[in-house]
Amino acid sequence: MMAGGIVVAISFLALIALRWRIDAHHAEVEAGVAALEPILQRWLVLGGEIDEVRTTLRGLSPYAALRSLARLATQQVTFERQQLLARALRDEPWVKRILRDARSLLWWHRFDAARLLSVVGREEDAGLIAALLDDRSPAVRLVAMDAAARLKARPLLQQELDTLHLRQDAVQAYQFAALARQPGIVAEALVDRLTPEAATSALNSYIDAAGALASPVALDRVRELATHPAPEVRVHVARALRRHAEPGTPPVLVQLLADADWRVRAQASRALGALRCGIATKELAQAVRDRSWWVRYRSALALAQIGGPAHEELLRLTTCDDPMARDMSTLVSGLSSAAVVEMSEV
Amino acid sequence: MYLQIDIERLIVTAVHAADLTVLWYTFLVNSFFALLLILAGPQLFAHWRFGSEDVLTRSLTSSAAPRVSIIVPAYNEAVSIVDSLRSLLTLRYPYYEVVLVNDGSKDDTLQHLIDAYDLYEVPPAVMRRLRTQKVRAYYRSKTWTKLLVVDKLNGGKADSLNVALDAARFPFVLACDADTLIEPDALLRLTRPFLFDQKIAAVGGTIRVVNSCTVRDGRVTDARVDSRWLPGVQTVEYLRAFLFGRLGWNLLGGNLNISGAFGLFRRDYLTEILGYATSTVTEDFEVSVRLQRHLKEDAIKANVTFIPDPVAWTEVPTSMKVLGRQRERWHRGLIATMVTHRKVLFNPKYGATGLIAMPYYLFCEMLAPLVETIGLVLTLAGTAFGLLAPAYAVAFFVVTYLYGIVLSLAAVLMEEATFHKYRRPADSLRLILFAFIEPLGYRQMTVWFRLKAFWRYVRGDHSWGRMQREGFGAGPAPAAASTPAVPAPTPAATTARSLTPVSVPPIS
Repeated sequence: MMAGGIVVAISFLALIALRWRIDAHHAEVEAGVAALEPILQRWLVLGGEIDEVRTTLRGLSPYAALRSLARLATQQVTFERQQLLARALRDEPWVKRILRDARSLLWWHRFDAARLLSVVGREEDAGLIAALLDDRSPAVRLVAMDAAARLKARPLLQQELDTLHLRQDAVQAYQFAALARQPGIVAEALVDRLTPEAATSALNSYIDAAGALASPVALDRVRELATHPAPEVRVHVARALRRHAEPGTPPVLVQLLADADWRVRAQASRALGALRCGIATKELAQAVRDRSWWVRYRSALALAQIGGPAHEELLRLTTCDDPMARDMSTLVSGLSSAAVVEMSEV
Repeated sequence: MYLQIDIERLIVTAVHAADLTVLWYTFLVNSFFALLLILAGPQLFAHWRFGSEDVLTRSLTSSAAPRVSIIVPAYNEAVSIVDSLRSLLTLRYPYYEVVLVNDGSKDDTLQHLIDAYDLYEVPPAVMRRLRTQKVRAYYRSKTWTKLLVVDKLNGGKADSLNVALDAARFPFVLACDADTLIEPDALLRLTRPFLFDQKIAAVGGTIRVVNSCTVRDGRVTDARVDSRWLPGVQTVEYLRAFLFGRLGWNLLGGNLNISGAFGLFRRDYLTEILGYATSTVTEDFEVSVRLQRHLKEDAIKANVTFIPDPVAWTEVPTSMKVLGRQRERWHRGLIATMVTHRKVLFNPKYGATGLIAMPYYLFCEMLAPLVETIGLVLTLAGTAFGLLAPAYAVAFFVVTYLYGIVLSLAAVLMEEATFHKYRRPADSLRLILFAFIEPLGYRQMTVWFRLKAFWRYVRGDHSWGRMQREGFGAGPAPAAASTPAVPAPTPAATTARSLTPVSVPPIS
């Protein structure tokens, strides 16, 4: 009984100590954010002194300083201001301490270093960031992507592009968002890579990146890949072209609507809807009679999205002789406009 | 005379040998749990860190979030369905839909839904791939574009899930029970492994005990530990099972138990294995095993993983009778699944699943109540008749009970040090006390319930039994409401709380 009591007492004390430490950390971060935010705003908007920012951060523990700064700075600071901030903070002892751990054996130290580099990183850090991009911890890699994208360092961005196809979909999507911070450099690099000779998996990633960036230059190259022999590539082309509202795009999409692969046809329908291509009404109405469920679904949604005569065509299909086209058009024509938008997006 | 002495010696030797075997068995099982605990520790820390880093949470609110269809079977849920569904429709997640299947409810579940969500009937424009009971109608909502309601003939929970699988549009499906409360950012947390560059087949999330918590608008606003011993000890049991029981398996590579009350699956894999089995009483455990088999047999390199963040809340039984039915059914489902998939046992073709996970479930979970009973009877009888030295009884007690208590305390400490859902010191103290109380009476009763499962399995019983609920946030007040009893042959019912028993480490 006594032993049991001692175990309970020790457990409870250990709990209290742990909670105290964790709560103290949280409180410090919140206090840091509260103290830093007005000072950072003053510096950003009114041209206040950077020394104020520096002093405030110096008053916090490295843990709290990093989190306060990262939480505010990654959301609010432009590239030019970020460079100023990097120069001002670079020699601070707490910054040096965190960056010294960038090659630590402990992943959370490397994570902190990568996170700090996304705020105070400079071009000379490119080597370190490149190493963190290849880190064995996926969390570190993810944060390093942010750090890489914040620098205008061409080799880093190219490294990211070259490894895109090795990543899973969610990570790719995350990378696209990061790469979009340097659209000029990335679009330029993409144009070089968007060639029919590129390996299919890599090419698909480049096409997706061009679509995510909505870069007209890169999407022009994507359009040229519409006749690529690999159906997977044509699927990606059709999907990416929904972001390319240029006169040359609808004819290419109409051509893809007649593709032998149903996935290409479905994506082409979706893109025609997204671009509100009224000129494709006839082809889309025909596609609502397609043998593939997805093509019928996407085409009916596209007609609803385009509206006007296309929507009237959709309503006519609700009484047509094809039962599958009739069901699909009845389903879609009953949706509210908000539902049409939402269902077309995903 | 000589013969009599020999027989006595023989009995003593047999009792000694059997007791020693049970002792070693217990020691090894608990040591395996200790190994799971050791493996779970760093992961728990990592997930806690990930969860507290806003950069990782924020990233999934972007276009990186995978599209998810939440599939919900409902049977006679008229009392709570409108609120439960509202909590599902207001999750903080960018891309998802909710497919609710009314499994031929005998009450007004469907009418409540039609009135509350302005449903209108739509043509059956869905791809049917699985064989199920007849679907009567599909409904969409004029106010909630995310919602699709399917009305079908009664066919059970698995059948409803299969209908929902067919009707789902997105590549991932989250199976959840109509009476499970999901935290607003639960999906964001559950999809975290996708950001970590893994190819994912399924992800399980933690389920907590909601009894005594304050629930407002379908959300847990104040987490409490029930002061009553039965839900209290189950709170500790759930913590132990989820915080290290399942997390430890992530590293061993044989995660076999994705809870039916809250589990995310890749839809195409589920469709390839023809969805949920309608003949089992623990469809979640069975489908997890079948999924692992499928991945191994088709050499698909995809992970079945588990994340420990507290994400969903469920009500646990507050009476012995209901608990008994639940545990008996869980164990019966475990036995049936082990028998059905016996081919996987010790089969190197199935990797860690065949060589570690399935043997573990056989020896440490399925057979545990038998061994524990033998151990208890032998020790008590042996000591009473002077066949065993008291030192044996003491060793047995230490290994079975104290080792178990230490593991439970470790789970409580892990929870308090990381996610810390229970904010009051009184709740922390209760958790510690319940960790001590659990082996005294509660364990033995669950052993009895699980023993009954063998008998009912042999008799070919496939019923789910009746479940009663108090309602969310009812607390210990005796005036709590109860749901109508569910007839045995309609398994989709509110009995849908289907954490399989195998999640709970025994202290045999």
